[in-house]
Amino acid sequence: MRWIGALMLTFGTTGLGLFYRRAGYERIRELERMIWFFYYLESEITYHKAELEQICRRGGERQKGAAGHLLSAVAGRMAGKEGAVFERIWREECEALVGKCALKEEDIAVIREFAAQEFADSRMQLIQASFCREKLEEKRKCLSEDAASKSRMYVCMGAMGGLVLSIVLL
Amino acid sequence: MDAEQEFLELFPDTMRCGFRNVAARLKQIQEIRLRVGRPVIIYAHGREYFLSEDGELLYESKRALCPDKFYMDRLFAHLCGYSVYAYEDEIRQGFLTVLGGHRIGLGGEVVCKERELVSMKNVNAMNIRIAHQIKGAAYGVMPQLFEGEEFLNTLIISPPGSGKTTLLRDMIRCLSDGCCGHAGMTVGVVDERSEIGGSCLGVLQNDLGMRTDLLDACPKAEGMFLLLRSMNPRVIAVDEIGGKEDAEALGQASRCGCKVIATVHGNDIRQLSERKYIRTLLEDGLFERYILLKGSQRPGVIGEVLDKAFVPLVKAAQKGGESG
Repeated sequence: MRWIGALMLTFGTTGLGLFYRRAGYERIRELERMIWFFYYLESEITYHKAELEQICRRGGERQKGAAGHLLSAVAGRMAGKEGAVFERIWREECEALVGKCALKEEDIAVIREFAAQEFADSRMQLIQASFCREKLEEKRKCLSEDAASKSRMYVCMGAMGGLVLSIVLL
Repeated sequence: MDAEQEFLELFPDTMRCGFRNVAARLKQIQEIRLRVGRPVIIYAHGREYFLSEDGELLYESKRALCPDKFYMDRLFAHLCGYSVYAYEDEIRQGFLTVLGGHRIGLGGEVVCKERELVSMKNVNAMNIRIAHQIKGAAYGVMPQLFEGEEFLNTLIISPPGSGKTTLLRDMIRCLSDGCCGHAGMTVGVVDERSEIGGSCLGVLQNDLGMRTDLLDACPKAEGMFLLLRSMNPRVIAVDEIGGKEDAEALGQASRCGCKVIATVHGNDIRQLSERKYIRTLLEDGLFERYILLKGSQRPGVIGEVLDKAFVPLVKAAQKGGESG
């Protein structure tokens, strides 16, 4: 029984390590989705000149995860013509993501900045979109560089921690 | 969705309460004028009213709502769907067309680059022109515009604000869907200022009939040639002709076997003949029917229909929709 318990403990802590590793990669994926959206937004503004509601709706249909959810929710509220200003809709929907996805609060704060100012023309809107995209890209780059070593560390620490605990308990 | 709700949705939620009364009387309202620091003025029944903060229509400006710069910026951003870039081409021309086909004329600081108008900033005045499509406005006049099965080239003449575009729009719909015993025909429309179709981001807000092809925001002369080359229309309709290119394109379209309907600003034939290029059209006998409207005091009321030799066919003041 002791050996079975020790095995279960080791598997459990290794699983925890794997969970943290997955969460790290999921955050990178979510950041990539948002970066894709800002690229998409920039090209839509430049070439297609579609309205924000349309862009968010199409973006939401193409993306999964938190990005897809955010864009669909924003497009839905804009199409619903409830009359709320875009800045409020975007802010509220961003805040609704906190704690519900792999993105950290600091990532969401960057995304929220997109609607922080009102736009006078396409240039301002493009600048704001590329500003947010560049900030997210920086974050993704930092996370990607550390991702391999961090994920190894999470798994190893999980497995080793389980083993040490088992030895101590045995 | 009804027109009232559609109209209210033009405004952000914080402003809607003030415009509820206006929405309820939308059919009677012609224009809403908003200016920074000045009372909101509403034109209805040929007179002006002031709008109070709680949405009442007043005869005096004492308690009237005076929008500030923030109010106008908010409204402008909302009207553009927070996507000013999507309306840049329209804004450059000084207006934007929104859902419902309503036209918002803009006043503000014009941005120029190398003497060319690039954009407009600091919008300080808006003129919301309420779109009224009056189906049946042309019924009274349509029988006069045919000779047998053939539609005749027609020119609608009236001063601004007399219902020219409303009449033209309904004539297009009637021709396209078929009316007074005549089968429907393909109609090509060149809508340079998005007034006929009221197109908002490519979606027509007015019913122009099932056989109508529309070129939106396209210069008239180029548009007419484009339609002739690609869409094979039986009738081409354009609004507010005036220049040399317009006259040449109309002549060309007519020589290609197409029939044309056009509108022009003016009080009567004599006044039109003072304009060089229009005079050429009149002298060439391009138009076979001339419709003169009564004027801005009685918008949409037909004064006279003249034939090619300027002889009146119908002289009774008759409101199109009533006689149909």
